[in-house]
Amino acid sequence: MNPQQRADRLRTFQRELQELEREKVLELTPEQRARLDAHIERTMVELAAQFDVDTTDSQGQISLGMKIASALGGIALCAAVVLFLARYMGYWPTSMQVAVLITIPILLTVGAEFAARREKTLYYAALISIVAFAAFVANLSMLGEIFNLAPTPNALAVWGLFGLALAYHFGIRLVLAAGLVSLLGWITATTNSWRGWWWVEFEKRPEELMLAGLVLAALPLFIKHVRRPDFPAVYRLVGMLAFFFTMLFLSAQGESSYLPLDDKAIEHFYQMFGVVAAGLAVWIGIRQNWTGMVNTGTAFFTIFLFFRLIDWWWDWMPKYLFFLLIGLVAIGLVAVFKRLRVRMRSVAA
Amino acid sequence: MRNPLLLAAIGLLVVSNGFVLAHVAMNRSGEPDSEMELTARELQYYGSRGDDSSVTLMLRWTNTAPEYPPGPPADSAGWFDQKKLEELGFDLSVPAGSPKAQRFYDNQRSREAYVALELEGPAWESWLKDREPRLQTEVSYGPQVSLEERIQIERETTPRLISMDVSLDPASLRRKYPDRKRVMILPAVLRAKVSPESRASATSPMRPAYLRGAITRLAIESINVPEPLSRRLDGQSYTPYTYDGKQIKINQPSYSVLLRVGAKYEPWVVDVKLLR
Repeated sequence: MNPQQRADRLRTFQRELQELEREKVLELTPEQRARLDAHIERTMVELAAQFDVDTTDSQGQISLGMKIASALGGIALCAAVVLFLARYMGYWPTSMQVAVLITIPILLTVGAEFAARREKTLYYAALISIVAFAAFVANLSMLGEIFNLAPTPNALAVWGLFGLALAYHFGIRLVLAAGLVSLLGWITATTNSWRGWWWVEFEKRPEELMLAGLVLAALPLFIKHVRRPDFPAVYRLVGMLAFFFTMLFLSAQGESSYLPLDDKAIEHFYQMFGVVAAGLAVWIGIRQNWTGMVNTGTAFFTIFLFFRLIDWWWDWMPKYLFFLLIGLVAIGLVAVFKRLRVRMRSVAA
Repeated sequence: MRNPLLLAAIGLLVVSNGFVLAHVAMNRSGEPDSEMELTARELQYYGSRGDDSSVTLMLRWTNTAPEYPPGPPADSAGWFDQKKLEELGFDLSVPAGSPKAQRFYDNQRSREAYVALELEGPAWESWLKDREPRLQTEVSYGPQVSLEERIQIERETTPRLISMDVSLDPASLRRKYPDRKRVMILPAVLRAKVSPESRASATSPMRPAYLRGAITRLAIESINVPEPLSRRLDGQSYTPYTYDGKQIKINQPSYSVLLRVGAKYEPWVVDVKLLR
């Protein structure tokens, strides 16, 4: 549990205690109450001093705003760095271009560390890390353009490892996601390259990406994240998105599959497999209490189902009837999920 | 900075950049694999400096094995035939005449190999000669352009760099084509294609289906011009020919570029000269 989660739990406990006292379910003696209040107060002050956690709801809302602002700011600064380099670098001699391209990501990485040491909430460190990652991507890409190098998938591996190193050092999930996406790209590109194929064309046989996504989603089962408890959800999200988007692609482009079947048969297989896999993801997510997995599974379950319905009914059915049926299917889904929820509650009880 | 992850991140930055620079140094050290003087016909500058201040030249070449050949299908695969595809490691297990061939070869991925490009040599002369009978019906020219003018345009404005061979091993290509001033070897992307059977007609007999190779693209198609050479190209552009309503005027290229290809088969610009 991270310090913010502990502070949130203490606040919830305080509110629930007040409610229990109002309902006369639990009555603490004045000494007990005073001792408990003093303990909570002291713990909150310590957490705030040590980790700069939010100790009120208002602070929590402002922090959420700061997180969104730092992510958007980071993305905007990435664009600013890349566009600045593109705008002026062509007028510089090659030695200066190389020096600037190498120096920027190093300075940004050191800058992120400097910010992290001065500010415990890591908003600035997160923002600078995102820009450092983008600057490193621009660094190698632009060096490739300056020296007319043949594109290589190995750059993806280096970017991925750099993203992971930054993410685990500072605890930044967005940079972790960027690193994992790079590594997924490298794995699929390299498996292509090993067999002599042109590495860019991995969409021609995308099943490798599907498998890599599945492996990535399962990795946190084998690698424990004691210091970074919020990271496994990022692995699952990136992995499951790669898995389901590939399956969605194959459900429409059967000819890109390795399966030795007719194109239409492959598409039907992936259409059905997509619904089943998304349902399974929801089930696993509920059992393991992985909210992200449940949301991803539900989203793709709905997408696969609606794509099927469009395929089956759109052309021959009056449009009003089609949308009526979509609405009824949605109501049916809500009913199914509601029953599932009740069943889960009774199992838990 | 005692944290190993931070040190690893900075180490990755330093090592990967060092690796790139060492690769560039290796490519450019020693005798270049090829060196030739090209003009705007082969290295075209399209842009002006705006949001992208770099100056890049697009490498234009004549593809004798295109993925989608213009005009009616050829009677045979030409030099990039089934044997060459086998040498390159393509899976040719489905015969060209099989009903499964189209799907099989459409879905087969491209392979990386090396292409030999000859500058203004016998291959280009032969290509021009082959083109002449087709120029009469070439739709890219307007009806106002006579056949003689079309031939002249082709001869004086099209890229003289022409593909003539491919191999997985660039050294074997160099042994086969030792003239470093005339033959350039570059990495390229290749595909296997099937040309379906054509039925017999009043003018031609039935032709069976066959497999052919195609050069999809070069791995490096745009070439950066470094400072201060890039300044010489400011304001330069190349329009091969103009038509003023009465006659065709063929424009001579306004610059030439000395291009070298190094030990790693990656090119770089050595000099830029203005021709007028």
